[in-house]
Amino acid sequence: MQKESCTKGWGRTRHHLGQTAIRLTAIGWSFEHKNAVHSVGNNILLITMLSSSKEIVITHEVGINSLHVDATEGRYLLSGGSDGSVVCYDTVYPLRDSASLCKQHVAAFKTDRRVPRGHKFAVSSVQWYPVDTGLFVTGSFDTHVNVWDTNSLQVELQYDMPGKVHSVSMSQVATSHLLIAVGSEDPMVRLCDMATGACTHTLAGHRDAVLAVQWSISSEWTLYTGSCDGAIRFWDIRRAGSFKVLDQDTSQMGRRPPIVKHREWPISSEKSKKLLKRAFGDKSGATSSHSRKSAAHERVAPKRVHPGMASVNNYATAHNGAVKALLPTNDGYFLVSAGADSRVKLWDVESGCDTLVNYEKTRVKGNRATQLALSPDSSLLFVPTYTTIQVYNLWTGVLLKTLRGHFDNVNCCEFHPYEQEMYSGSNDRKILVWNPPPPPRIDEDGKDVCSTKAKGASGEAEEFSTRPDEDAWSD
Amino acid sequence: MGRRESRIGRSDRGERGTNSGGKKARKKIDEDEGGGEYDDHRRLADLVDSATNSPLLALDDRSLVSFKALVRRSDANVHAAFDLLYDKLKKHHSQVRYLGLLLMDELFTRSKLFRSLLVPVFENFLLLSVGFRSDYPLPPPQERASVLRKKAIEIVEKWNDMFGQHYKPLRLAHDYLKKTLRFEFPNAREVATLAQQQRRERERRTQDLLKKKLTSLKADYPELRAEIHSTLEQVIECVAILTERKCGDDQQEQFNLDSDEDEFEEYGARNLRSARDEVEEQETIPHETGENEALFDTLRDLYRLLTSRHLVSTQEWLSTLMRVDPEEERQARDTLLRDVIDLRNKLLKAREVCEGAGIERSEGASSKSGADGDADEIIWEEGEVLISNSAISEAIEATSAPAAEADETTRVGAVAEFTAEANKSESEERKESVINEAEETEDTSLKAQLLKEAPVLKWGAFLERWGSDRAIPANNRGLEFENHWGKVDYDVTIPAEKLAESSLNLRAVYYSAEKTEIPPCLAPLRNGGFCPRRDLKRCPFHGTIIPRDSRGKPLEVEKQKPENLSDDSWENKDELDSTIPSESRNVNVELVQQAIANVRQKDEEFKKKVLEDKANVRRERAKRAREHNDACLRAAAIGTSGQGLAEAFGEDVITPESQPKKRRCGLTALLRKKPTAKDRLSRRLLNGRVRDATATQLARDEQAAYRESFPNQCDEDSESAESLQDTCSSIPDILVNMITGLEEFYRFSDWPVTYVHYFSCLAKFVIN
Repeated sequence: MQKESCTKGWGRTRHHLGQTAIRLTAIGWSFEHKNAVHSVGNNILLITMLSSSKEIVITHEVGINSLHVDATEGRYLLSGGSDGSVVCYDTVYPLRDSASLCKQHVAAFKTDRRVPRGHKFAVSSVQWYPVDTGLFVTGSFDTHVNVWDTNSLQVELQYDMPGKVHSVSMSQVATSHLLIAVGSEDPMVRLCDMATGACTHTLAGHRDAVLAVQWSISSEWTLYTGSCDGAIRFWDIRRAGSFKVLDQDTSQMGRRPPIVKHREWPISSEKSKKLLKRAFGDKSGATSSHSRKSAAHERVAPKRVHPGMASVNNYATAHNGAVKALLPTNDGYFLVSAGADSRVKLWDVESGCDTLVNYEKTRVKGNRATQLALSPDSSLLFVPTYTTIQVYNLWTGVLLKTLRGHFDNVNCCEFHPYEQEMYSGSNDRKILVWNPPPPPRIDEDGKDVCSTKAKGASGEAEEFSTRPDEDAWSD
Repeated sequence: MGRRESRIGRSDRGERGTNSGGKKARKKIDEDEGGGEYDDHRRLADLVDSATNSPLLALDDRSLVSFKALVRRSDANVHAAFDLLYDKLKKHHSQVRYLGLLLMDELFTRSKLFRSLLVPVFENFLLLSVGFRSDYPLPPPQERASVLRKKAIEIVEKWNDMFGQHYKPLRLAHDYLKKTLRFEFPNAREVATLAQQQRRERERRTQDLLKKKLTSLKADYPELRAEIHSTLEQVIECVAILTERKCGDDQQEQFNLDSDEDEFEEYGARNLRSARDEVEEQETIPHETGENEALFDTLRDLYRLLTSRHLVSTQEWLSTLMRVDPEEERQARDTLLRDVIDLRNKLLKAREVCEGAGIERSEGASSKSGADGDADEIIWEEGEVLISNSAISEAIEATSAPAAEADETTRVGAVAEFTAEANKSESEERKESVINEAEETEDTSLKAQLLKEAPVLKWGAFLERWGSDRAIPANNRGLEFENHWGKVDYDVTIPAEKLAESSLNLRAVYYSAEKTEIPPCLAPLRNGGFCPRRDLKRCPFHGTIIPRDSRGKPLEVEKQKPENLSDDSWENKDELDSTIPSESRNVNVELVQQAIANVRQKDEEFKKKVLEDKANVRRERAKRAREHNDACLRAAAIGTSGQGLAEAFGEDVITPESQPKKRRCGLTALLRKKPTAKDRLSRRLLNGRVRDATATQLARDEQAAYRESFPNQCDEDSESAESLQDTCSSIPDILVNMITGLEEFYRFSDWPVTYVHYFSCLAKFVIN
């Protein structure tokens, strides 16, 4: 029954690629959902830990490169494996006969290289079609970008790229175009049109492979790209060239003052103000150079010179190494970037300045794209760091927690859009679920359900039976 | 206050350690708590230190018990223990980590708090104990590291089985180690369940078999029971008759008889009575005599039946009944069991009765006599064996008797006699046997006479048609067979005249070599016997076989050689015979023999001399070499100053490092590399002094070459000259060092001494 519901679930977009553009007009609803979640208490999220009640049973025993949860139902988790397989897990309904304490979630479907035109090499990036679960897009190291029909599990469209594909992205807010932005080994960013099945744009400007591609949350025409040359470029796809190149030397202290005034702080007001004061307030002497710089910037900004033409700005770098991940905050005002120089930076999208938030002890290495995650209210930032995931307060950069559980390098994190749940994929062939611990379930007798259950389960050979989680001092 | 208390705690720590907490009760509660905690921590630290500071692979039981008791006391202690153990796990020594791991295992399975402390750092824990990442290998010593890894994997599996359900990191770690890194887990759980399953299966099978047996037993039981009972009755009757007889003989026991009869009828019904019976029977049953032999025979048969069949089968039933698992027929089984036990007791009693009657003894005797009979037969058959010991001794006597005459012919004769005698004795014996048989079968003298005359032949086909002239059928098998050449006449016969041709009535005689007696070597052996080997000409141990006297001394040794000589010159002798007149023949022969003897003696002497010379030369050379070696060693001892020879060898040089330390079998000893023989040798050879000497010598050589090529510069350069002088003065020293080094090398290697000798000569030359 679950299986049926799964397969029926993705019926909506089937073979209606031409008509999807019409439906895109009704997309505003997903935001309402997200806003609802905002108020669900950050304090619980702060004690995020390895889920004891949920477990994803891995079907493909390979490293996980990319994860994505669909935004429509918030039910299906797509994972791209390093053997070219793509597996979808149902995160809502567990396996029916999983009797243990931990609910087991199994794969809803799987595609791999045996499917005609399936990926031959590692899948580097996966994304659901933003409108419904009828389609999903995958990019792979075999230089192809595939658009899959979820119902038939066949490749509907395939785009050839000049090199390994590192990242694919579809705009969550686009209503007038249906473009897949593709970052690949080639310095050119390509935009593939799903309606025509061809590549429409080639955005030239980067000097090295493009690892990160993200559409803007606020504008459907704006695209952010990060490259191995350390540059983050903003593109308006209606115009030629990038309109902004983020420069790590242009910085501003904190968030823009007007926003501080009228916007509510996501973390509790008293504490945050104190933090803010500690971080920026008393450093008036130190900020003189920055203020001068920002003043200069303000002088330049009104001119709106197209930076793609101005060669001076064209060489600016955001990181002293490859930009491995980009992630816009959910309000669209900020952009988080992670670079191979082991830095995570928070950029003000509007001004293009580094907000100088110091994220403690970040370790981001290697030359592969990673995937950061943000909680729905953009308060917590999850950064894969070797075998752990570090949880930061996005606004202050304070390291809140280090999530340990993986045994190999973590490649990607994905926060569930509507639930307080985070998924992480790693090279140790596991997808782990992280969530706040469930409230203890109490029986009528007042006993903890978990422990009684465990007691009931033990009954096999004495020596090897599972024990209840209690003290057992025999001597 | 707390500090003071802690100081007190420190001061009398040892005291407290010994007599546990007895004094503690006397102290005030608040003081006790503050100081007690501190004390606990110190004690914990001490315990952990002592437990992890041992080269053994197991924990000390006593300290473990006290450790656990201490940890159990409070949560703070668990925290402290965790910290201590985790620190131990970080030590750069696999043995410490191993013991720490064992302690952790003890606590992990017991304390929930400990589990909750360890699980968050489980990855690190694995890194330290399993060492699953190549950039964090396990510390030395190597073999302990492998032990540690194995144990850690075992423990992870155990923990996962026990608590994996509650601790996800445990499960993940287990999965990762097993599935991704493919570590080999002992799989204890699966193995155990498998073993249990197998055991259950085996039990089930045996139960099935037993049940089958039970059903068959149930079916057959009444019959078998009746059989056994009849046997028992027979025994009783036999015994009754015997006792009756005895009583008939012996009137004194008259009064017993009547009651006995009654009792025998209900034999075994009451224990007490039967016991009494037994006693009486043992007393009353008479010994075997000629009269009651038949009775005893029957009893014996019955006894045999009892012991070999009935008792064995009852035993079998009993074991079946005891082992079988009666599910619904418990009642039936129990009654049957009782019955069988009863039956067995009866049988045992009957056996005892029989044994009391001396059945067993007589049985043994009879078997013994049977064996004797067999032995007799064997002896009878042994008559055919060619030589018995007596024959050998006879032969020795025969040879020793004519020993006085001592010439060759007698020897040959003796051997001939020996063989002849042996043959004769054999044939005689055979004949006797034949006669014996004849006497047994028929006593008619004519036939006996005829038999005496009749030749004994081997059986052959000809015997069947001996003297007959009848035609015989060609197909004497009576089988019908087909021939593919055509029809076969089954009734065809072979006529009598053709029989001769077809050799059916002819006796075929095949050549068979006569069995000749090969005389034994008879050389005296060390144990006083004689060599029993029978070789044709030459015994491999005692040389050519020669006639010997009764003590094994060879006869006619003296004459052997000349005779041989004469044998050699046999042809010459013949020639001489033909040409030279008979008077001078003897003289000539003597002369020739003398000449030959002379020549041979000379040859012998010459050979001997050559051999002696060689030996002398060898001895001389060895002596010279020894002298040289001694001289070298002496020179080294004198020439090298300070510690002299020993230092040159690098041997027993007393330095602060190599001073004999107290042997520690602690943890550092595990880390230390054990030196091999090779290491020792190389250290000695390459010790600093020799190396320096070589270096100096090389430098000198270089200088010499320089001097040769630029002789005029040498005078000008006074400094170099000075240094040259220095080196020259140290040359003997260097060389001596080198020699001693080589000497040492020689001592430890298989190289011949000549190299050393050569080198020492060279050295002397240079010194001079």
